[in-house]
Amino acid sequence: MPAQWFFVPYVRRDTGKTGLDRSRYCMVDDFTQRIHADGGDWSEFECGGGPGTSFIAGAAGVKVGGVTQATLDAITAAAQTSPIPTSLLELSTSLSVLTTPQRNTLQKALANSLGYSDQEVTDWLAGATLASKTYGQLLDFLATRWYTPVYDPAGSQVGYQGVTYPGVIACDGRTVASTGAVSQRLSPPPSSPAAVAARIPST
Amino acid sequence: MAFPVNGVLDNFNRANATPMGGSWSGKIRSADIDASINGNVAHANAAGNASAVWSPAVADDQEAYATVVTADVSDTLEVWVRLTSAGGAAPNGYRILFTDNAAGSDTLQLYRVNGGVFTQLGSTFTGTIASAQKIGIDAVGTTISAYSTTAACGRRGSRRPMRRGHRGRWRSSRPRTTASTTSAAAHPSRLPSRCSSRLSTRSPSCK
Repeated sequence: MPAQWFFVPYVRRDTGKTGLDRSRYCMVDDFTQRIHADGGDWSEFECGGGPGTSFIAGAAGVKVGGVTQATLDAITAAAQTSPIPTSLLELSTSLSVLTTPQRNTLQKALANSLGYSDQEVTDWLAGATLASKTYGQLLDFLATRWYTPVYDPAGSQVGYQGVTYPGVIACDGRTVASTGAVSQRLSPPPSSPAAVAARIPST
Repeated sequence: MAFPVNGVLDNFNRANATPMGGSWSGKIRSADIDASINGNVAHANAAGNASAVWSPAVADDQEAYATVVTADVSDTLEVWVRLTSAGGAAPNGYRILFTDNAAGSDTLQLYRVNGGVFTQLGSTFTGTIASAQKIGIDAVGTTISAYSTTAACGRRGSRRPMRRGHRGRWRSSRPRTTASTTSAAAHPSRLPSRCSSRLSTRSPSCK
């Protein structure tokens, strides 16, 4: 059964009966029942987001395994989803298996969109090229930054899919004027990509 | 992995009371109401989210669980561990959230809570949580796991670990789901440091 990595947004969900709960979840959870029906599973790690990114509620790297291709296609089609080439399934796989355009996409469209600047990527590479790194090393780099979420009751933020929330959960380093809550940059993240990968079948 | 590891801390078999008394005190959030004992189960006697916090706090490795006695659609029950900043508007910790839905559609979700903002960890498990089932959460080192005692809620058979996390307590909403008893305790390597429970008008009763 196919497997694939994705980078996806966190999405807001109000779960509280009294509106007190301000929750966010990894978008792939919208596909959980379908994934389980296929006999597969998924797991995620938080990464990126931050000032200047489009991931107001944060982003996650997700591996989905043991599912049909149709399910992977459905996830790929979801808004703000960045599918990773299927040649990258194992953490030990060298990025040299990718074409140059694919590597450029990882750096520009993925790393930059998660909030990592070209200079940060250059500093991380330390003179080496992306082709000399493994996929696991790239995930480690992408997971070096994340932000604690804060709730902004002002409701002026435009978030996921262009929706203006009546109140938004933000992971972009902001200070919420009305509450004083601060979304702080943290490192390292709460879970490691290696641990995530170990739980999901690769094929 | 065995679940639960620790014995029950409170079976709520005593006179009706609000708040519950004993080692339960305080609330998870300032907006909560006090949880009650009513008919030898814990639940919310009035509208709102009812909660209570077990004290004194113990070690960082914790286990907390509750037994669902009865539940109505839309009832919720939460069990927390590693609770900090309780009683204010922005608590921290980890919780398992049980939501009673239509038949076969009950859900269990594991959350990390930072300053009152909830981040779901991993996927939602959907199935049936029946009366007398236990749901719980444990935090050992940097691993947070959520469990239920039957196969009904997960795909992997009984005792389904949902994984990940940090600290604990408990809460529920809606009268008629009865969940009761939070366990905790006395196991050297897995002491609940603070268990709290929260019940609301829609809270399941707990034992």
